[in-house]
Amino acid sequence: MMTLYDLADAVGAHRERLLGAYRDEEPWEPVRASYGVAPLGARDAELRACLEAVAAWGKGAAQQIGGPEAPALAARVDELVRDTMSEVAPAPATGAKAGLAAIFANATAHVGWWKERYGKVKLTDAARCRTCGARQTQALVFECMHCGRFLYGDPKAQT
Amino acid sequence: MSEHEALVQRWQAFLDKIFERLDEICTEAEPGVKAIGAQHPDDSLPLGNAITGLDHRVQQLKDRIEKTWDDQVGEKFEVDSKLHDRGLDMKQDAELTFDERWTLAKARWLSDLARDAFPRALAAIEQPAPCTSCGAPLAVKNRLEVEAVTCGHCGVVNQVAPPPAVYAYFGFGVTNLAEAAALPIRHAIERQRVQVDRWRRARDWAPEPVESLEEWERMERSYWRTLAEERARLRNEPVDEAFIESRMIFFYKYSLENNQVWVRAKGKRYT
Repeated sequence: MMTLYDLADAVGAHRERLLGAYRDEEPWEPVRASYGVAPLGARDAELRACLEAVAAWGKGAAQQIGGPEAPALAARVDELVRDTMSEVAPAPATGAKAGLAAIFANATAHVGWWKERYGKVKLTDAARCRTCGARQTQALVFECMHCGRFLYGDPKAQT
Repeated sequence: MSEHEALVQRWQAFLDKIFERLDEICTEAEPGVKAIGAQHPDDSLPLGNAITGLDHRVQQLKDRIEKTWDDQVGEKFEVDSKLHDRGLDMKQDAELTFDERWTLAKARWLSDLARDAFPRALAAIEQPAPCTSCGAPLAVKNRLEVEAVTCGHCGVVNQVAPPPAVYAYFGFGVTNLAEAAALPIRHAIERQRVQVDRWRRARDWAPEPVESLEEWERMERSYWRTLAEERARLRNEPVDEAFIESRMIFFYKYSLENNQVWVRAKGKRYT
């Protein structure tokens, strides 16, 4: 049975495949067709339609799986279309006359990389005991209420 | 027209060309900066990259003033000491105005983007933060900073971070708005220092009077207070008096307390 983590990975994989095809790493037309999107003429519009299909599927799947983290995942899936379209949007074409075009192109060159690395940070998190997995239940108390062990590993024990 | 006047006019014409070029850069940069801000509303990295690149390009343009003076112009003004002072004053005024125009342009663009970010931040604040354990909505007091919130339903302690749109406005955006509010005072300080230098030069480099140093101190404090008060107003927080004092200590230590007139009149407190 699919968990929320599997679903998040699946949405990410769809996004990667669509971005790859959009950038001609594999033929675009069959990929587009596999998402049930008819030819629209402009590849940007087709990519958006594919992403909207993934987002609709992802939100529905998150609701079906349920659980406390489902709303957060659904909210993140909601931003899939906007974030991905921002990533592929061309750098502003302004500034050619004043020699600024390269500045704007470089400014957005590594945005995708940054999002991949930092964009998945959870907004809400709870510390868990490393021994029994119980969550922290009292602020600033780091001994597990369930098994009594310290929540975090001791760096001095490193070899 | 005298030979000296013709020289002054040629120098002024060169400086005017530099300003035309700066205006051209500002005109072309504005839509680019705003487009990047709109494309990446919650991520300050692309905007920061663009501003850094533009700063570098603008600095290259400004450096042409110094280089042209050193290589081609300065020696022509050296025939007369008053003429030389006039040429140097024109150069200094141009560099000051150049910096003012560029920093004001950047402040205006970044303030516009911050104002656009405000409604997005308010909408994000309204989003519920569910407990990671049971999904019950958490009673978060302040969504501007990371907060530890104990779930009223299951008792688990959740660390709740501000949503990206909140962080983008209340962090980067508020800083930009506060700096823009205080910027005219920074420009006035720079102008006051130039006027003092010219006053001293006209009096065979007489020491700066303590009243003038007090005026500098007053303006410096006004700059940091304006910055801190605007930041506090926008974040609905008390004014950070410790921040103002820390900036002023730095100013006393590295500026006023290096001046013997000030030290004789006021003593040393920080060095």
